[in-house]
Amino acid sequence: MNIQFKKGVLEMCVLLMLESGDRYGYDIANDLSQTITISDGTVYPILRRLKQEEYVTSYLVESPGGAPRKYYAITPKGRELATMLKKEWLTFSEQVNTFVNRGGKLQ
Amino acid sequence: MTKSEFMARLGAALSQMSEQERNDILNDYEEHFRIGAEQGKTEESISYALGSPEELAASYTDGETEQVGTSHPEQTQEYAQPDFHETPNQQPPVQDYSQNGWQTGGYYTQEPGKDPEFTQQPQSSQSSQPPFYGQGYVPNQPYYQQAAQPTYVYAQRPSYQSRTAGERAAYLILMICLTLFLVLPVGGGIAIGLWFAILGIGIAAGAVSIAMLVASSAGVGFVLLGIAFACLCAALVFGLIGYTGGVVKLFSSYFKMCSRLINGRGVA
Repeated sequence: MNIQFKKGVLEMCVLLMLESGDRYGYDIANDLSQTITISDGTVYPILRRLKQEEYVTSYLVESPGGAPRKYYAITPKGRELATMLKKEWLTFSEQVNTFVNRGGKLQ
Repeated sequence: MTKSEFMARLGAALSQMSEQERNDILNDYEEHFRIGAEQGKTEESISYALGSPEELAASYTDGETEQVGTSHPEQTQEYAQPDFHETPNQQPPVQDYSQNGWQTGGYYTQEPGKDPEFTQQPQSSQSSQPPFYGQGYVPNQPYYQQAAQPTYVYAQRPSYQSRTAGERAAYLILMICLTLFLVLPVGGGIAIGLWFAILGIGIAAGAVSIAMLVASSAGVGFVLLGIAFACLCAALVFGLIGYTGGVVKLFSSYFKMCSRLINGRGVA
């Protein structure tokens, strides 16, 4: 799959994961790579970019018996983006599925 | 690859960044290795799952600069998901993607300081849009307006213009009249007539074959003739099944064609 397209979709997935609660990078990477075929490392550039664009924020949490973990939280702006991307994705994927199921014919 | 090897390669690939940025990024992977180790994973398996450090490094910068040749050719076989680890020089030019909105750098920066206005557009403006294929691409999102002209022009084909309600009703009445007074009496009559004709011949052939086989004392020739008639009877039974299927198909195509004609779609 085209790498840029996949990245855009993965940004949506990461935002949707954060909608239900804050998570740390390893957790996100681990969960996402279990459902979608990506390498674990892929989520870190995505998280960094989302943070730069202020769709997520991060904070450090001390972990008992370990080093601090960087948690990510979605911002209101990020929630808006997630809603929009999800809507777009559903419309787009439905249209593509219809097209593919018709065997690539326009009608 | 061990953790220190991975970190060294990632650090080297990020050498163009400022030291602060680089350390920030490296810290994320340090943390990843640490948590992985706490969960009992080996450095090898963690770094394998992370992917190629050079390609990860490239994805930090690909919004701004084109990275060429940052990965070594032999690495493509090393990772489990080769389709995702495209080498940077296989990536299409950046501007192609900034148009369709998925290119990450361009995507979010088109509306600086302003959230995308995706709830403000009144519904009525959608219905005034031409009813073409891309309707689902709600036109109230700024970047789609950019993308719409070059990308979806092909969809505005004349055959996609729907008919108005009046035209549709006229075609509907026309098709009902045509169907009731011409297609059903003539086409249906012929189809049903032929069906019964085949059935009749089949029954006759069956009866003759039974009669001949029963009267088998009359001679060997008689029996052979009876078998021949039985074969004819069987052929007619299968022929009738095929014929029925063909008629059903014919009529279903006819009604499909009618609906296309009424809706003004796909009639070339």
